[in-house]
Amino acid sequence: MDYAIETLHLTREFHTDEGVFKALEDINLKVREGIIFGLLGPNGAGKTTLIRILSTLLLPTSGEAYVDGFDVVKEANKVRKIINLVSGGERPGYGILTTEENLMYYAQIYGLSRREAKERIEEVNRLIGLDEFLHKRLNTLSTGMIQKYALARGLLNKPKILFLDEPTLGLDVENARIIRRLVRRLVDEGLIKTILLTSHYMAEVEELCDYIAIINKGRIIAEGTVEELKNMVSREVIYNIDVKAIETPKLEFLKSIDSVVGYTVRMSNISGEARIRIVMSYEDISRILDTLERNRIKILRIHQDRISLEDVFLKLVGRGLADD
Amino acid sequence: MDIKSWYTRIKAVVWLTFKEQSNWTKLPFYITYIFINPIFEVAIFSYVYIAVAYISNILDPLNAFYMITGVGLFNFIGSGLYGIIWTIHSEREHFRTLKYTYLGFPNLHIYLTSRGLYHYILGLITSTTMIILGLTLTGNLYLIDRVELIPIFTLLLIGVVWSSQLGVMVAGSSIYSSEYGPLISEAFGGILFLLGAVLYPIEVLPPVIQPLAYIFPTIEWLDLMRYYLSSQYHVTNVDMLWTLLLVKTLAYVGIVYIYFRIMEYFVRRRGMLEVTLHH
Repeated sequence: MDYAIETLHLTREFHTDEGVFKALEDINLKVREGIIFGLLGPNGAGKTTLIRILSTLLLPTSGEAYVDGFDVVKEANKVRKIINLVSGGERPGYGILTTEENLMYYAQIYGLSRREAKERIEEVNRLIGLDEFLHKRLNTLSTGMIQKYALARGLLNKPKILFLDEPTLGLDVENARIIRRLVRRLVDEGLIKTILLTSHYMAEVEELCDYIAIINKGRIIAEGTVEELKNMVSREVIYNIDVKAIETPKLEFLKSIDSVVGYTVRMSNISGEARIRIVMSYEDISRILDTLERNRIKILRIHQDRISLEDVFLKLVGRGLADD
Repeated sequence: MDIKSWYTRIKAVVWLTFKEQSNWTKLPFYITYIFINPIFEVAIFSYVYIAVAYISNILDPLNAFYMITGVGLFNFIGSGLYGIIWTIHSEREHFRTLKYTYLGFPNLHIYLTSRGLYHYILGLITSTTMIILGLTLTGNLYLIDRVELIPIFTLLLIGVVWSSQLGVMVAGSSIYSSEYGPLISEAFGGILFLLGAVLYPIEVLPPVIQPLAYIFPTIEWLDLMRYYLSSQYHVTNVDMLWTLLLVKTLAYVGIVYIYFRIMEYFVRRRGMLEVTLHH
């Protein structure tokens, strides 16, 4: 079977002053055509490094990678013709040019004539909605506008495979929702065949992706559909415990409890509360509550919750995605 | 090779360079700006010549011709060269678009060469102005009595070829180092000016460094240019100069092609396309 993306024992090392750092280690991925493939992992897990290799910006240290059957090392030019890259938190264009001028420029360097470029810009404009800032300089746009522009730029060459590296990074809730909806439409309407999306936002991956690989410290630690991944923690019990604000290190004692598979803490600056999410291998809540009280942590609320992707990560890694 | 697509691409790159260069002001101010620097540069060299001639009491019109044409023609070469070399720094550090250019434009080598084209067009206009003005100031405009357009035009094209490839070579080196890229660019321009028979024949250089000067095609190119501008400028062997110039130009094209491919490999190996200093 031919895959849109395939990697075989892909490894990438970086030599730093502290020694050799393995950003990717023995990555074996097979991405089917026609899906949104999600790569989920915390910051520094190796997601961007993988995208850099697949988009030919970086060479692997060892192993092989193929995009639409083309070798990213030996056939980089062929790969570049059929891909595009959209990275969150970046401004992929010239601030001195307007949105339209930037799109026209990039369309032309992809080889489109001026007339073809105009038609293509109209197409992406209809899809994404750029009218509001089409004639504004890029250096005057808001983050949300820039990300819409970035997505439009990524569609100019009608790529077969689109790499989306943290596409909603730094966006507010509303703009992130707009971008997510656009991404889903791209595949549903057949405008892009395959999307490889990286994110450290659990909900984003859960909402958008047909298949997910979880990456941590340069290694793929699990992969499957959302359901398949959630089944990995189907026997576990998940509780949310709201407590008065605490310092995360104070909860180290939870690790000594046998039933605790992992936990994560979210602080709320507004309410001054903290939410401890605990994944337990068996129902043992009374012992946990006792331990919390013994450590003078004031419990406000407690409720059992449904399994989420974060719990899969907690079970596999022992800590939350956002925890450093 | 789809020539129409390549023409579109190169035209877009020339347009981008114009926008990048001129975006900070209105067109009349920009035109004034592009002429001010070359005019003052040639004025300085003209008055240096006049001052030296006055003090030493040696008035040799051919010396003035040599200096003024050297400075003017080097401006043409230098404009393109700097334009190409500086592209790496501006795209990677300033605009942070280098990786998108790399993904979009089918060949980075050709992209860099195209980035120089606008500078060559501009350089041609300013260089012509410099030569006419400099020779007028020193009272030697009459020396331009030949102006053989076909060889001059051919030489300009050859000049674009070898100097743009030199630019690509230096850009290929600077792309490998985000930290020292600008230093490499600046230093190279200075070396070429020093060793290029721009202001003086290379025989006045210390014998140890004279062989270095022959690495560059600047000597033959400038000599031939001067020869086709003035009947009073003599060269020993025109055919030999043409042969040397063509051989060196072809050698540069070949060597730079290989060198750039190697550097591109190392750049991808180290992931240098996106590395910025964050300064």
